[in-house]
Amino acid sequence: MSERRSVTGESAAPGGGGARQAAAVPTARVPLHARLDVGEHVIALSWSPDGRAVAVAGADGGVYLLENAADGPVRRLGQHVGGALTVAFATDGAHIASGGQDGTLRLFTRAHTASERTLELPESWTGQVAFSPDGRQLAVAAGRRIVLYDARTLSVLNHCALLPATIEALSFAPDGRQLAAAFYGGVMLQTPYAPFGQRLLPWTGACLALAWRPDASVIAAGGQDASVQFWRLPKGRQAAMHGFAKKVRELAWNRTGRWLATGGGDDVALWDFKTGPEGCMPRNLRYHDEPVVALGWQRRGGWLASVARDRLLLIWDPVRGDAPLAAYRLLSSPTTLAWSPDDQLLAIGGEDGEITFIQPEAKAP
Amino acid sequence: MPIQPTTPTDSRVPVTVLTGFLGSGKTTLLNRILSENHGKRIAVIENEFGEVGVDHELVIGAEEEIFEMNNGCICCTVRGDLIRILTNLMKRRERFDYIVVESTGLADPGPVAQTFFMDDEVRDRLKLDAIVTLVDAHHIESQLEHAMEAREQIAFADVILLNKADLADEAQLTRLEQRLRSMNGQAKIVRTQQASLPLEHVLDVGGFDLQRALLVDPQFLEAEYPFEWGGTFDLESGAHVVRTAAGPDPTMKLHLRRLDDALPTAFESAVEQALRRFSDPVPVTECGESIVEGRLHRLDVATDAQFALHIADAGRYALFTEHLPEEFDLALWRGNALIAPTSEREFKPDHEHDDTVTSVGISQPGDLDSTRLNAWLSKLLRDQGQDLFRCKGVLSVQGDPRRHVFQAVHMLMDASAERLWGDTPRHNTLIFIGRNLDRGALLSGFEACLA
Repeated sequence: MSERRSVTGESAAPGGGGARQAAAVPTARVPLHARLDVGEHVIALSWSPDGRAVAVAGADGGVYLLENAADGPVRRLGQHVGGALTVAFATDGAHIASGGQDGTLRLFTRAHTASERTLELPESWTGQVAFSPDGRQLAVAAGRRIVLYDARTLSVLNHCALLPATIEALSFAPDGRQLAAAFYGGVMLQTPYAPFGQRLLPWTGACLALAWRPDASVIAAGGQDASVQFWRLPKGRQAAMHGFAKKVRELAWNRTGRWLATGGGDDVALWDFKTGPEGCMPRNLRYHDEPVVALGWQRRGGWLASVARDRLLLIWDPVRGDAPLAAYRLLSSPTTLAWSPDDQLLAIGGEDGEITFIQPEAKAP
Repeated sequence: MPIQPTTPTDSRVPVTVLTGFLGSGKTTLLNRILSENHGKRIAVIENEFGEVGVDHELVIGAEEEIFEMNNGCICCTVRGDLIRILTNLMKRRERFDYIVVESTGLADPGPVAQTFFMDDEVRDRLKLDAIVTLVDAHHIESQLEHAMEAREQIAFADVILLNKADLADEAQLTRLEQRLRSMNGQAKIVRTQQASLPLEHVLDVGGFDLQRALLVDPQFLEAEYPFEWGGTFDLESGAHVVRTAAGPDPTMKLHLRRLDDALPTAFESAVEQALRRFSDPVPVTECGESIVEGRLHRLDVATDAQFALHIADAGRYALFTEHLPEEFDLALWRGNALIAPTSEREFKPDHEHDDTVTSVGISQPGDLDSTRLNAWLSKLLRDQGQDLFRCKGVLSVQGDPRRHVFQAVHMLMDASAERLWGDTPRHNTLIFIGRNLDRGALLSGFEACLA
């Protein structure tokens, strides 16, 4: 029986099992490059543009820097009371921004931590931070508000109009010309420079996650109601993908913008934006037998990495088929993953506070 | 939409949801929970922003944010703020034994409860233990009149704390308890002063736990009737007259039906028939119009009145009246002869107040056909789930030595077969709490499932 994920208009009942893990795949191995421990559930991690350091946000509030990535040591930069929620390396590679439940935005200097700056945002968790692709702006989501800062001086460029609900995700378009915020009510597109206009892409459900197509022609949003909404820009024509087993937080576009990979259950679905996806069924990549937690494509290469609650890291290459190229067993349940800028290393955060670095090797299928 | 079954090895952290109007004593109770030496590490999520650590407890602020789903079904509505707070809380190294979620006086407990069943991240790590509703004994009556939220909070509750009981007298408290019981027949009602009570009434209650027996006040399950009086009459064929005088209400429902024989069982079955008839829609019968055997009437009794009654066949008849006959000086005449009932009985009335939220309890022996039972319950929840706040039941299913147990919040149902009946007599106990409940229809629906 095949899983019937579909775009609006198609039958949308999620299917079941199938011949999971039947494909011939190399046995799961643990050829770890290195493993470091930050001691708390890893909420988010971000590579430095030079690929030498990783910044980490922890559930108990710690913000960490792993300089020389896999070789350690772990350096603690600061603490958000109640828990950290987000972290991002600045485009200049010299700064790190973080947000947390204490409602502060913190800016750390990579070289030495003394020059930390803390800004208080009123009455809310500071849930998301994002640097513009050119590095000049820093966008912060605090509750229902987006604040745009000058990334260098931290002077406020604009307090954007309050959204009707808490912002769940924040993402600059790859060309830097728009900033998208997901919330219960749709996606708000914010112009990140004067005159700071807003444009609503409405959806009646709660949007939880965002992914821009690399050419900024599509924005996709994963929803609480087990759907993915997407809008084709600039017109804003909307369509939806249905049939997911659970809410969808896992979204990733490949380099060319042909494939949108989605989670929302045990299977990874690949939606083909070259021929569809309207009216087409996705390719289902089946191997995980627990819900997928995070997805990531290489920036220049063609590999897709997925981690799931079954503690497996799988490497897929859609050009070579629907079976994983490699499987790696992780020591703790994964929470997030990120490819290094040179596509060589994967950093994977875990519930037990481990950061695992893996250099995937492709075996012949 | 099945709720994830609870397993004996359930290691999820239990959650109590605390509801109640402003001034009902929630803050006092929360402070008691936080300060009392109960040996548990408790996190409290309440409705103001900020995070406070009290010794080794934790208080986190929340701002109500409701996520409705695209299909607009209220049963799929969850609380976005709770999902964010609870999932982040469960990622921390410090483990809590218990979580208490305070819900504002104006909040609908439905989305709070549904968050624990609908959201997979929350459901994986937390289980809803019970909904506890505090009421101010002094003010709840007027709140019930004016606020739909107050009625819903009563309807959802597993435990109702009748707080500030020292400020009300015994008669008032008894009347109040009866009223709350008629709205929610499954909740445990506890009188308190300054929210002082042993915490086991609030924590680890097991309100959603199928393994714990259904605890329903047996008095509640004593059937309630839409009529207060029933009597039997031996009538000749021919013309009769029913006379009434102006009474406390402008109209009164009345139903007369012929009995098959003079045995007491014939009256009992007439009671059951009348029960169903009394929920029929009925126009007003004006003074001078006729009463027809077998039909439900709503007599206009605003002024003194008389109604014709033609008896075709002599025999024994049963008459049921919404109110007691003496309230309206109701009498049955044939010519100049007053006809006295051969027997009469008073019934426990169901609607003491015009509360839109009521409970219907069913308690009957007999085995149920599982196919018909599933079809009935599924249809009931699908069609009336929006109006049904809570349902619970322990059922005897034909051919199965185990008790079948179910519970539901709106359309979300959880059911399983539990321990053996053993020496206990097999019996069915069900309770429905909701708006616009039709006792007659529920009863016939249930009886149609009897094997």
